[in-house]
Amino acid sequence: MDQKIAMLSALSFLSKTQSSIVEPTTRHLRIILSAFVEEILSDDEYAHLISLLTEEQYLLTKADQLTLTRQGTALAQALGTQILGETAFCRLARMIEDYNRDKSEYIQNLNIQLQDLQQVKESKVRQIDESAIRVVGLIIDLQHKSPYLYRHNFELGSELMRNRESLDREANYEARRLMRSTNYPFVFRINGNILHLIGLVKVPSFTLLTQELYPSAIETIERRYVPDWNITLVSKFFEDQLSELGYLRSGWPGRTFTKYQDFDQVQTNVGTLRECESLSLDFQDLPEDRILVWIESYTSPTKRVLDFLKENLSDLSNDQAILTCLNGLKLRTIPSGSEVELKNVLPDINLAEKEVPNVAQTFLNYWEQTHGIQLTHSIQPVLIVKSNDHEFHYPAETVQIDRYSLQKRLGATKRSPRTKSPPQRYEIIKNLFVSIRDMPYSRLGQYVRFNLRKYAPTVDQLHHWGAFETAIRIRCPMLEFQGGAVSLDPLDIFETECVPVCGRKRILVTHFILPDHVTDGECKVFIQSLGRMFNRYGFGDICEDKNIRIEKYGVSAGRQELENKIRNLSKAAQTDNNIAIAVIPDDADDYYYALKRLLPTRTNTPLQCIRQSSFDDVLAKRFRGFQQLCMKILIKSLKKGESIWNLSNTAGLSQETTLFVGIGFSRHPQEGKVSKCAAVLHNARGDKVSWNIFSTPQERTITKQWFDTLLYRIRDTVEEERPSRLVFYRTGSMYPQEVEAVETSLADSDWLSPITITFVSVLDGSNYRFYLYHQNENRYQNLPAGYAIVLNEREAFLSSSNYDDRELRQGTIIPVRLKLEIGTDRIEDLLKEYHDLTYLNWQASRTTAKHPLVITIAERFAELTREGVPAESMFYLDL
Amino acid sequence: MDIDYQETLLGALRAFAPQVLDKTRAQLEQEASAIAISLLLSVPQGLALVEYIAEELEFGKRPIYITDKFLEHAELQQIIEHFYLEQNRKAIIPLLLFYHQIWQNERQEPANPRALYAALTKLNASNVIATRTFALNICLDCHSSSDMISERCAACGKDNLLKVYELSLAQPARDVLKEGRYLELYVKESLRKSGIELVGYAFDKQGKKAYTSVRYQVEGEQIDVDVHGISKPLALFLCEVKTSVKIPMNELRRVEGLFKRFIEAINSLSGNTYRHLNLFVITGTFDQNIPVDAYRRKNWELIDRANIPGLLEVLKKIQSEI
Repeated sequence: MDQKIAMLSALSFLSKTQSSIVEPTTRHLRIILSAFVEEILSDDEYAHLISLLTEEQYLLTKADQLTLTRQGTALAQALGTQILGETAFCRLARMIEDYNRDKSEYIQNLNIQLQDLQQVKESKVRQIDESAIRVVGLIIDLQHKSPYLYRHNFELGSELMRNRESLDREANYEARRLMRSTNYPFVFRINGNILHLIGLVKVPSFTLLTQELYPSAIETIERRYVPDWNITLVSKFFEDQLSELGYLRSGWPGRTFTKYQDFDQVQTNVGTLRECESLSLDFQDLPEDRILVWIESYTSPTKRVLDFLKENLSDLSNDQAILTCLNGLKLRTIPSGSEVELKNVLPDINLAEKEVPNVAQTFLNYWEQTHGIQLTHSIQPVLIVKSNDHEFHYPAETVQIDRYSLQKRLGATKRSPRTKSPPQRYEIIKNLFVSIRDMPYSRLGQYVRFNLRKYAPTVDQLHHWGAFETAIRIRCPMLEFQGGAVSLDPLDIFETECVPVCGRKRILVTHFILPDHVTDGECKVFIQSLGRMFNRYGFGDICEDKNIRIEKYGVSAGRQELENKIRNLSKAAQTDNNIAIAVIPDDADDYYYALKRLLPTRTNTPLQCIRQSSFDDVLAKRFRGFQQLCMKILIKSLKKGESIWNLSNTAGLSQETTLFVGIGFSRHPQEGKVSKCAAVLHNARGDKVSWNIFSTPQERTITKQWFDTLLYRIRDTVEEERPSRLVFYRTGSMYPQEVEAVETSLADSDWLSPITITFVSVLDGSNYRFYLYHQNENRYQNLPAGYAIVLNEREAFLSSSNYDDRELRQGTIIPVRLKLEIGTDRIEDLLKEYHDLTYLNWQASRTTAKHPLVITIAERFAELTREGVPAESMFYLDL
Repeated sequence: MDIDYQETLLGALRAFAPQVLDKTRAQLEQEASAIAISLLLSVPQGLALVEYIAEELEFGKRPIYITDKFLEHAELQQIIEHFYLEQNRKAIIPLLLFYHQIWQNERQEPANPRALYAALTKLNASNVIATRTFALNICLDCHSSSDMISERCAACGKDNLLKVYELSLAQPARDVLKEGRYLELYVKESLRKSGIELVGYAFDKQGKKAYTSVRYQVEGEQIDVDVHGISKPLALFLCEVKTSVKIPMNELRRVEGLFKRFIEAINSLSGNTYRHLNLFVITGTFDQNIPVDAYRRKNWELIDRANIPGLLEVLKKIQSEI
């Protein structure tokens, strides 16, 4: 930070109210500057700065007076934003404004911040007791009996090499088939036009795309030169052992196992669902033939075709009615989960008598003996389905409806989440470990021996075994509110002493959209109640606009009527801080998105939707979500450059001027409905945030063209802010071609050359769970916010959970997994920075956020664009 | 008849013992450079420039900077940043002072640096300037600087140069700024240009006349008139001129009463009823509560800061309506 320009800028802001700066302002200025540059300026440094500026004729010093010269004023004005960056310059202006408002209180607050800064710098990161942290998984050791494997070389003809992607897919499928038929694991590698098939035993041939291939050579190679071989073995081991326990592998190449035989039937809004226990495994290769197996246990709900038909048809003997009923639904078979095409139906088949075609077994026997599944209905329809150009016969009970397809037909499934606390997960792992360990396993016995070594191992042990490098605890950042007031707790925003940075707002309700049974009186009571609470939290006032437009719609008339009414609404005057409120039926996502699509652009007004039940609760004075509702409205009223609270120091205490870009994706990539958006945080304190919406339907990967567009869109901001560092956060793992696309795009952008680029991918949907276990107290606990486990110099896990502190029962948390894809930053610095940015969680002040604000915004807008909400509607921060 | 009528009016005025208030100041009316700097007020942002010189440059004691071409803000900013990072103090100071003149002159309403630069160019071309010194040569391509006069950059050889000059004002121009008489002189010159015959009185032995700041003794009361003249068709123009930021209602009423009594005294003494028009010109703004239209009906024309450049047009329009 250029202290000269900072000092001159501060003086130029001060000189708007006083031509010369005198005591005590001269003294106070040192504290303000120290807080601004996050470095305590000593008296002599400050005096030196003044004498330097005087010597350079930017300042006049006379007795105790400091006066800015014309050239000093000009320099501050000309280069203030250039050198400090637009947002930092505005921040300094705001600091001086806050100082002028109440000098002594402001300086007192800054002194607290500066004292804290010293402490934070000293103890931002500390090592923690690694033996208290455990992972939800187990350790398995392998003892190989031979150091060699067989490598078969198959020459691939040009017709096979034509499409590499389909070749990979086909080879994968065939290797799997080979494994099932021989009961031995295999891996394959393709090198030029040679396919290497590697395994414990020799095979005479390999079928690929209906071609029978014969090996041109079979040679022995050392096992240690085959990457992931141990993982392949352990995967096979678990598949076999779990199958004995009733868990069938569903899907390939994933490692998901479901116990289809045992299920609970639950009633939901989409009818009966069968919930089965499932496991998802992930393996981490460790040195010395050791594997860490991450185990995720969960409940998998499926909608079986049989249940669906029984709910929708009174007569299951009519094949045409069944076909019509299933028309348009995507079907998947169990246990593989493969998508199939329905060709025909055989109604009312007696499965105890009817044999499976080409198999000399009845359906009942076949399913019991082959998959261990006892069918519940002996008479039921059999579906004739097509997959990979082959027809198969499946009883209706063994076919499930794809969840997105079902959602499209019946709406999103509403079922309470099945969370499992750390002790529950511990029990599952322990039982699984004991069951598998005590079961004999001889299938690969002549080649390898599997020793289950440890369940729920500690990070300390895993550190020792080479899985992790270290575990650290990051101190939470101090939050700053208006006037320099600071706090560690975001919930203090609801206390009157912590005023939002954007100040108190006066918000006018200009439009109120209601179902027709709600009276105008109820509408007024609602606004009054909302206004009262908004005021109580110190956010300002909400009141009715004198020209408020109350529009009512018939719930029974459908969404179309509501849309027509909105189309007739006039634009509100472009004044600050208007809001439209819409009451929508519970569980009416279509109403929600219809409103989001139309109302903001039609009326120039941000929209806040409220469920009918919440509205009724407000009228009945039993609504418990006022904090959340008021905060949402306050966020919607933010102008660009405004914020609710900031970090009192830069995230991660970084000395560099950093600009953060979050790239978000819409979840649930349904057909034709995927989009990506980006949001930009202009500095590392959260002072200013902006966003760009450029959705790209049907494309989830990052391409060079898309990234070029992103860079083009953020260029103005980057040039305004003059950051020395640009950090990109992206949710989801990066494919190598994505990293390459980003690197090429960055290399092509000359204007970025003086800026250090960091690209971080953020994974939060994986199966890696940790928990704390306090042995002395026999107490389990979620990993608190700020706990980080470093995997290597580019990857680490970070917990941002405060569930236990807030007494929230959310099960066992999954920390985010950060991976440095591009850049040379230290992983510890990345963790600190990311951790601090999650505290800008305005939208969820009770919980901590998993993602920094920029990702939260980008993901939210990606969700909205996926649902057809136009970019013009997102002129406000709709979190 | 008209001539007699006019003579009677002038006689009546003389009967009130007119007196030129300050002979030294009256002398300034004769100086070309003093008149020239006052006439800057006729161009957009001219007043802002004159005020800047008076207030920020100690009435022209400090040098004025001008470049030979107008640079957009971003381009100028870029050059300043270059010199700042290069720590080239010799080059940066004149540029910063020029930047302050053009881009940080808060007197502009609304801000129009291009117009301000045009006013500065007009000043540079006028006889107000006593000395013009070459200060700096800056290459707009390679950003190298030199204090040698040259048509090509010594570093890159290109001719895309920005030349910076240092100007100093002639003494009478400085004096007129110091005395704060630029508005009076501007009003006087505008009246003259619009065809109004100015009323003035000799202030020295050579018979040179002063037309501004005349004091009359009217029935024991002293009435100061900043500028006055007689138009054709005959009407007496009385002008009050003030370099104030804000004129409140009371001040306007005081001047209105003063002029009213003066006209009544003239009419009473001459036995005629003269048509009279009053002009109140200020460099600030009038109180929002002043009913401008009502005053216009009472023969008052109120000219504020925004209308100063168009004063001549206003005077011509008034005369055409008499």
